[in-house]
Amino acid sequence: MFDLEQEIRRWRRSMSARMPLRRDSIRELESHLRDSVQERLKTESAPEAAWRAAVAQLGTPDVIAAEYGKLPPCAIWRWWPAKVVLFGYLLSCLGLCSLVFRMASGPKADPLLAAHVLILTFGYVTGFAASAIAIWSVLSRAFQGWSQIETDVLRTSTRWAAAAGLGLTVIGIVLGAVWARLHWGGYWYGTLPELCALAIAAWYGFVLIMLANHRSERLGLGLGLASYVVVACGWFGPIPAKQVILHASHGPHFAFGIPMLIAISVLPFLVLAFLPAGQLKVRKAE
Amino acid sequence: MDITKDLMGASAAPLILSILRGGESYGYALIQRVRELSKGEIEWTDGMLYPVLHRLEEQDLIQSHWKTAENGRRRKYYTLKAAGRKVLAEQREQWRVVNLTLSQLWGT
Repeated sequence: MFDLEQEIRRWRRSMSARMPLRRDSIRELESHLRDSVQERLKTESAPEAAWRAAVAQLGTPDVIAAEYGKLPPCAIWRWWPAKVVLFGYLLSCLGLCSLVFRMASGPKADPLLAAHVLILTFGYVTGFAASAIAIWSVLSRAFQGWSQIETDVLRTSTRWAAAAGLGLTVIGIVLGAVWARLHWGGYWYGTLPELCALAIAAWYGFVLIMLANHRSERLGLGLGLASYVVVACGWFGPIPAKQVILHASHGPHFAFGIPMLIAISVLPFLVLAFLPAGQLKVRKAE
Repeated sequence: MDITKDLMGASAAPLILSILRGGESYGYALIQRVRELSKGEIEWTDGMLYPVLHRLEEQDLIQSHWKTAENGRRRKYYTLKAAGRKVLAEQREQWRVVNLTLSQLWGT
């Protein structure tokens, strides 16, 4: 017995194998196929014949994939906010490198500790890069409008940033644990900075899972903005006003003032993210 | 009559932009409209349209958004942007010149 839904699922799998990075296009083509089948069924065509005719009219998966293959592979590097953020990210990484290498080149140089600090900081800065893209996107969406391509690019760039942030933060934590074992005798002490680093890594994992399962533009924007809050709180929250040793057992305490300020600074962007796209656009008279 | 692939390709963008000038539309409806206007003479392979739409969107001439239609099904709708109107006006002038020249040569 012919089952249209089963055929569509089979067709979708076949398309996904050929165009794994174009899920949105596959959804659009599926919508087209459904319209085409529905139209053919009006002229008393049997479901199986209608399906076969619709697929033939659409083109075989290989032909469609070849047509899409002529398009540039990924729009992200032609999206100028991504370039600006990447440039800023690389610049801050270079600054961090020079700072840490200067710290590590003294008479009491400790390359392992320097690598731990550097890589962990890269992991945190990556979260800020994702947030910078989200903030730009929120403003652009509200003042200029938004399209499906921008949603896809935002999602892709946030996923890349979260994946890179997760990898770097985990490596930074492991290096810190190894350093602690060598100098203090144990891998893990459960200090506030350690717990915050773990929380940031878990946050990146959460972002990856959410973006793998949901496609909403507001979710992409919300996760990007929340990354700023989570990373900034995790990074700056445990740093005390007075200089004490960061991993000391008696401190530091979490500075609640800083997270509050950070959360408040993000609120206006969250409000903008919930407005309809193009709501604040200046309309020109026709 | 079979229209060559080259001519089909060259005319795709102006046809799409011209239809979208009349209001938002989606892929299947665009194909139906072209078929109807050309009385079946212009027969696109359906799958060919979508990469063209994608390219026009990347060129910032059109924009898309998903919308739930009356029958409950989600469809991706396209609308013409200001830059698209400008490009359409230019293309329209170019096609007018080509049409005028050929008409004079063929005495039609």
